[in-house]
Amino acid sequence: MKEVFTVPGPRHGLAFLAVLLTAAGAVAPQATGATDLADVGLTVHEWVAVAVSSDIMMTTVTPDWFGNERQSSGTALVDVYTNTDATLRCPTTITLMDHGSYAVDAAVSLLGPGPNPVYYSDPYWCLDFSPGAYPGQTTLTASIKKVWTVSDIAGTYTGTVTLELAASP
Amino acid sequence: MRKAIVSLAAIAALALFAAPAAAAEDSDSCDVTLTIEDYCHIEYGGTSFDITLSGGASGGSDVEGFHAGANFAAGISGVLTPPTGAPGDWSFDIDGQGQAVINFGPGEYNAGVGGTVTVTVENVGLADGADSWATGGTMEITVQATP
Repeated sequence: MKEVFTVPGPRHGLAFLAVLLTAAGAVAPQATGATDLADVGLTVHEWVAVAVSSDIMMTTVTPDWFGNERQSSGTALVDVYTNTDATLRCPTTITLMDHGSYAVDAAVSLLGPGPNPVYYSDPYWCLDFSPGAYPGQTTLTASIKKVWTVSDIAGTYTGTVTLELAASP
Repeated sequence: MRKAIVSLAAIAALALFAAPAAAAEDSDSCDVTLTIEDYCHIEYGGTSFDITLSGGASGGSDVEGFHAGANFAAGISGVLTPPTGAPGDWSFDIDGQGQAVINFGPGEYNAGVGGTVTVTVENVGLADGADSWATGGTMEITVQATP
């Protein structure tokens, strides 16, 4: 469809050009400057991760232990990563059940010098972390200390320990 | 229909973003194992079997106690070696079971009581003469895993 424009007079030449350009699909002239603002947001969710590096094999109970109070223990390193204050907890006891039942003590602790923030909170050992990466800086130790007798039947006893890491409330 | 599907997708997306973030938590597990090796023990309560024949007796015996234990299924057996050159017929008996292997365990054999070994000599004749045979005689008891 063809449009017809009427020219009102010489003084309106620029206006006529603008109308003409608009009709041709061009952008209308604007002011020399303009701004607008848009919000920019970022949300980082709390995130934690824990990994036990290996299984725990407690020291083998040998024949010369029998009749004596001796402690058998084993340790695994633990990786902790968190972007928020977080608490790592592990059960204070582990049950080994294969040929019988053994209750094994468990504990978590931090390696290296300085105060160890382990505190007791039955039935869990708890360890607090501030945001950061702690690869291999935490130990998980299982131990059993007792007088070994012939009632401690020969064999291999197995249990499982689960560590839980959660953002501190 | 297509618009409806698009609208539903948009609502689902909004719901997803509007939902509260899941609590930050993680867990990991590991196995814990303890190995207890085989253990057993056996020992006499006394020091020796001493048999004395007097008054024309042709035989006699002596009894000694023992304690044994094992943390596996075990058997007790014995081997008697009479004193070198000693006359008579010799035998032993463990807890009335003769010379058979006694099975027990795991645990202490006759917990708190233990067992007894009897060493006997018979058929010692006058012609064997009076003498003392004190060397070479042993009564060995053994505890070991049952086959």
